[in-house]
Amino acid sequence: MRAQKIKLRVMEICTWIFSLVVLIPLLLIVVNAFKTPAETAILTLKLPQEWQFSNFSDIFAKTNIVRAFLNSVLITVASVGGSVLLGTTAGYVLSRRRDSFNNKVYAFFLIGMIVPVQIIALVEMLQTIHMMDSYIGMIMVYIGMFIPQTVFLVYGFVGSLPQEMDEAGIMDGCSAIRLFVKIMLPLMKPVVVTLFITQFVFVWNDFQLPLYLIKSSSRWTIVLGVYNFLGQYSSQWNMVCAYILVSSAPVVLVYLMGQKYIIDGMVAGAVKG
Amino acid sequence: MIKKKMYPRYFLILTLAVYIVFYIAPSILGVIYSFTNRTIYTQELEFVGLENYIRLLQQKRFLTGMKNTFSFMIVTTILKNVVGFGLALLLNTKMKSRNILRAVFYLPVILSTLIVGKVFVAMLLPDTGLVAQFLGLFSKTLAHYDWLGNPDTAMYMVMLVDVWKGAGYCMVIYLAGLQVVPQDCYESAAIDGANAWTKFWKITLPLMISSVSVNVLLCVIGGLKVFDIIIALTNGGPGMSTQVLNTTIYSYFGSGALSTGCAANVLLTILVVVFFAFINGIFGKWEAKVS
Amino acid sequence: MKKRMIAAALGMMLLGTGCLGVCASAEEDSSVYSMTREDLEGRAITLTTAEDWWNDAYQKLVDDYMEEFGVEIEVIILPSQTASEVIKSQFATGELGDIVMNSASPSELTYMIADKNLVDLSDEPWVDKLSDTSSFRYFDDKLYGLPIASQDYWGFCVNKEVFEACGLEVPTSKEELVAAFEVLKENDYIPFYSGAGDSWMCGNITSSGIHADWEKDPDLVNKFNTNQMKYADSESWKAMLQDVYDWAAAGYFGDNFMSQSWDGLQNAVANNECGVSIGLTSWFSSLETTFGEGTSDKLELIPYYIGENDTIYASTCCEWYISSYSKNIDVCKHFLNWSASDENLQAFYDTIGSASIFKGISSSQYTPATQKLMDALSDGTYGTHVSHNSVIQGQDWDTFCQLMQEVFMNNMTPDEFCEQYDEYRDAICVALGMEGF
Repeated sequence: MRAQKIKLRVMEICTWIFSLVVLIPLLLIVVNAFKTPAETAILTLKLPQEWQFSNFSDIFAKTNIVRAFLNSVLITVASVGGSVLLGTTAGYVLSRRRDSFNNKVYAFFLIGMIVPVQIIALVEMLQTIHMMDSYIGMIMVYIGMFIPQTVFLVYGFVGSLPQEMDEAGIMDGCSAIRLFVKIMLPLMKPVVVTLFITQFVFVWNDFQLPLYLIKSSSRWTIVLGVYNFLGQYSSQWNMVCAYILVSSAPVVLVYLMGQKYIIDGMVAGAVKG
Repeated sequence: MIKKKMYPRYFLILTLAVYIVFYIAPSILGVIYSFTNRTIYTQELEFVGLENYIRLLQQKRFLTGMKNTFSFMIVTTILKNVVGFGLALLLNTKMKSRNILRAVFYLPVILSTLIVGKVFVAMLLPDTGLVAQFLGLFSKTLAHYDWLGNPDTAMYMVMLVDVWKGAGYCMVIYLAGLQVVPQDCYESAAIDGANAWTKFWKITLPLMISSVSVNVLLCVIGGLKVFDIIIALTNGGPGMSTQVLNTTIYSYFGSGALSTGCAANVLLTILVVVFFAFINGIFGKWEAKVS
Repeated sequence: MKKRMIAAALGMMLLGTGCLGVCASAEEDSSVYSMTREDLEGRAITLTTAEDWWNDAYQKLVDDYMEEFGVEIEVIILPSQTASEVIKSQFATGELGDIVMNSASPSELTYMIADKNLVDLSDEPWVDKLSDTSSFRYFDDKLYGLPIASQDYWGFCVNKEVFEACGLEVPTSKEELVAAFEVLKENDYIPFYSGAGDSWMCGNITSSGIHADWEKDPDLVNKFNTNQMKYADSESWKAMLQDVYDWAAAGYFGDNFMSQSWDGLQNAVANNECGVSIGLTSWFSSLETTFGEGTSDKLELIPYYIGENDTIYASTCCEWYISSYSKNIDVCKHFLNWSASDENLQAFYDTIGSASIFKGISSSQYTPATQKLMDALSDGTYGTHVSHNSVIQGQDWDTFCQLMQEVFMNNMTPDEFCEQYDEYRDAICVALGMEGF
């Protein structure tokens, strides 16, 4: 047993050493976010001579990061919330009631996992329904894009839940909506959290769609802000690093909060399904 | 009867509507364009059949992109899976800090590709980048080497950065797979005197096939569709050395040849489907054999 | 139910292919120009531009206008990597900002579908101020943009300090230039800093390629655009490519030239690391801003002595266009007219320190090196050329530049380059429905 423990320790230390491959680039951003422009002329891992917290206040003063931040929050939360809501209801019904029509609908959703998105056609579509350059259009596009993935994972997960749960609810005289909301939804927590995190990360980091679908820069998201910011301040790495930190903080936070569910969600959805 | 009542179809309506209007319709429109002469200059459509496709397949540019895409896909799929599996095995032990380590290795997955690209470009600069500073400890010539600017190494660098960013995702899926491997299998194997290596090949891997197949599929599809990381790191250069299918498609759209771009997009999709079916078939057979 | 859904999907698709929004009717009313703060206060317009084009001089115009008239102008700066792609998609779909800033080269005007997307500005009051509008007019002979931008001249930029240190004179021909390269190389200078790591720099050096042949055959460009001729058929073009290929092989671009960039160029020039580089007139002013006044005194622009060429490269500039879908055409016209007042133009060109297309307006801030070139141009010492890609249609500039990078790296011979790019351009021309392809 003792030998086992020592072996485990050695392995742990080795893993930590290996993790430097991941940590060093991240540390590089953190450390340089607190330096002066002169210190960041060459990016090193040296600690700053004096911690420049003013870099962060400068960002808030010089850019409209707050506005961009709120845009990101609105678009991300609404898209992911919408995709989870629409995807779970559909995936759940399709999985529980596998008649021939529903099987066809399921197959139709799966097609969405492969078809290519075509920007110009998308813009023309949004123009016809007057949703170009609007939050709602942007959000609906993300929802539409996520639906196949959500339905797929929920379908697999619900398939692994025992039918007895539903039957107990039906015996109690639940309505369809009540059964879904009160009984099934809580059971789907792992897969819902997994979906929420992965899609949150995607929307938050996406810079292609907003660029095409949103004309007005007052509605741009924070990552697009990074894009513009990199252009303007590309030689001032201290500012760039500070901006990167601020703009990445929410995704890291969301991930850390939901981390313990991710593996459960994957077990249920991807591996078994 | 009860099914009809408890799992009503109206749960599907809104989902289908959003999916069709905002996703399927524009996509199908794109497919239709690929058979026409649609450009950004004209609004009138004229059906031209397979002309766009034939023209594409004759182009060196498209074939170079295809070749690069394949090598990218193969190398990153193998590396991500080996690294991800290794990490999953390590972090599935009873290490004290395993939860922190899991989070650390997953961090790159959640960062924006744009940011990752920018940071690695800075790190890989010759002479002044962090990598050059490190290599400079050993040799001046190595420190002077331009990893992303040299056509011999640019593609490998892009692959490595992609593995850096994506291995954590594979790790999580493998970790999930390991959760369902029953411990008693190992115990009986331990009694039979099997070593770690045989245990891995004889027990772990066969039981993990569904995770392997999911991971390989995701990596292959991701590899075929690679785009962001290329744009962020090299923008396809130097020269044509890191051009892949998606960057080629992007430049067709950029030059106004919409229908050609759409056709290239459809070809890429067909490629994805073929690979999907092929890999799914292989793993399906393997799974059947194991169980 | 199923049928209804399919019908709905089809309906949506049909709608998707349908026509675009109806053009807002332009207000043809001369009272537009006499609008005052009272008329304009509280109005808002958008201006779309790209990171590479926007600068402080433009921003000042916008800020001053907002200050004076109480109009809100939202400037949308597109990131450089995707700007052209995004702007093209905007023109394709009509989703334009009120004012769009875009390149003015004739080959690019095509995709803008100017007669449909843009407001005709031929009769604006400022049109008379333009010294020559011929190169800005669309094929319907109308003027769609205000060419408020620097008229830049590019040349090979000789560092006289470095040349003196090597005992060299400023070259007056390609032969002298190549001889100088050899001496510079022996003295451990980078003979020619090309910035080849940025692919567009590899494209820039080709600007003069067809010029010599075009001089001989005035119909050359037309032949290119009607598929009677390809790049592979132009002798002067191939001579230029061959020089690039040979210079790279001879080490004239330095040994690590793929890590040279446009950003690195300033440092290399200021620190006397290279003998020759690529330079342009307005660049001297920014060089002096960064490295102090007098930095550019040691520099001199000479023609692109490459291939068969001996002329200076006159680049096309940007224009401001007004979208015909705009609901604020009156404000936009007023803003353009206000910007084109003598006083504002003078301030604008003073800030950017470059030549202009407007009669009587030229910067008072020329650096001596710029002044020297302007003199040489006006007394006819040097001629000028326009870049092939601004007149020959069906270009994909990104692909072009990347293929050129392959030539720099000696991975591709001039013949291979022509073969691949002609093939690629042909596909674009076909896709664009050009006559003869």
